[in-house]
Amino acid sequence: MKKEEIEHLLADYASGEISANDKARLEEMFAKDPALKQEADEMEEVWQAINQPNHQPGKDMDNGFYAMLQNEKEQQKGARVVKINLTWLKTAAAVAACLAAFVIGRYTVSPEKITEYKVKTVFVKQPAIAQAIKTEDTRPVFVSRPVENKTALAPKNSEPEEHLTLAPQLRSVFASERMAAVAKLAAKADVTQNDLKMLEMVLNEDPSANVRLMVVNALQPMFAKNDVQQLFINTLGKQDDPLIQSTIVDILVEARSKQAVPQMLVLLDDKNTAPSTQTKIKTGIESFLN
Amino acid sequence: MTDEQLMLAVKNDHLDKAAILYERYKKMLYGFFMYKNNNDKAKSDDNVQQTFYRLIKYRHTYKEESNFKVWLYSIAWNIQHNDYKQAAKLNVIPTDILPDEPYIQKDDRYDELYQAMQLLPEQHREVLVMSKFLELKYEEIAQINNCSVGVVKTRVFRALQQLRTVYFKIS
Repeated sequence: MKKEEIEHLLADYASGEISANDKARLEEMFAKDPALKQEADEMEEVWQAINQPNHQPGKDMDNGFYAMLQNEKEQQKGARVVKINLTWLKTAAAVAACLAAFVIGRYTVSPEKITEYKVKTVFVKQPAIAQAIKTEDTRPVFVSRPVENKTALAPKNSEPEEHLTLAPQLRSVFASERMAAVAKLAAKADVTQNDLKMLEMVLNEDPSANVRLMVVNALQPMFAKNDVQQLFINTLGKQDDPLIQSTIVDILVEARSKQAVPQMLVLLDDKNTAPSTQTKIKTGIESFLN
Repeated sequence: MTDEQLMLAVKNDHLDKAAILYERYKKMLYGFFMYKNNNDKAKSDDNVQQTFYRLIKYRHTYKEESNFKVWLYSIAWNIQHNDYKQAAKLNVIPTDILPDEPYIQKDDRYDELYQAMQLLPEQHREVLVMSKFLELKYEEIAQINNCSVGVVKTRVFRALQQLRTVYFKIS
């Protein structure tokens, strides 16, 4: 047994937090090493001997706390009253504005009837559409492929046709369509190298964090494959969304993927990395060492 | 009501429930700060109040699934840690026993082990105090100190080893 392991067992033994199994293991060692037994018993005695001095807080501390609590309760009440007053004020102001508008309108409108109507055509500018995924490919973006021959027989190997449908869908301007395409890819019984390449492209380049997160969740069950592991390690440095970084770190730590340590250290040193992600990385690396 | 239920009530602005939590934890927190502040009563009073002030002020950050004890002692640990860093900057770290001084039995009224504990390295003493006096489990101490359980147990072992040397020499 390693020295560190024995030290941990002794710490548990002295504090009384040792499990039955560990105690049995220690007692076996005690039988072979009386000096170890003596050390353990002495440490236990020291633990028992450490007494907490009977520090009694004074009345001043209680008074201070209750004064602070009362103050907070007053402030909270005050905030509520201000909120309620503001609500009433807003309501009163809205009612006054409506009445004023009615009165002004009632007494300023001309008594003459409108007898002539003019028709005017108004052109409204459409809002700009969302940006598509940037790729090196300069061909125009397609939403759907027109069906050329409805009576044609389905090919035996359906993968090329499936790619023709899914690849443009993964470049759709609508995130929901891209997510649907990711779901279809992930649901395939046999995910090919081409599929993995497409998913990797989406994971590295898609502007929507939700779509990228969907790819992470889709790839997680396939983590046993070396190329999927490498994909996760490579993409870690390219992700700026804290939730995605954190999810990938969790997957790598759970799988005890030590090859990911250099990339995790790079992320740890980056000041822009979220503190919660940095904490996960530190804990994960420590667990690799223990 | 459990501590977690009380804290959720405080989070939902039922501030009266904070008083129950105060009564449950004030003595333990006070003892912890007295150890950290070398028996400075006024400072320890102030630290306990600061802890509960922050508990109320930042109540909205408390998560439903969190362990209340760990959350509370994390606040206390941060307060003490900030005080220590400020004192270090001003070069006024208070101690009635210098770290490099050999052990001297000053007076019968002092607890011998207490003096020996003051001579321990800060990290070792802290885990011992948290485990023995705040009744925190090693996993909880690891969470507060942002380290692994193995590191906590190693520190406990080293602390007890050093104390054992002093304790049995005295006896």
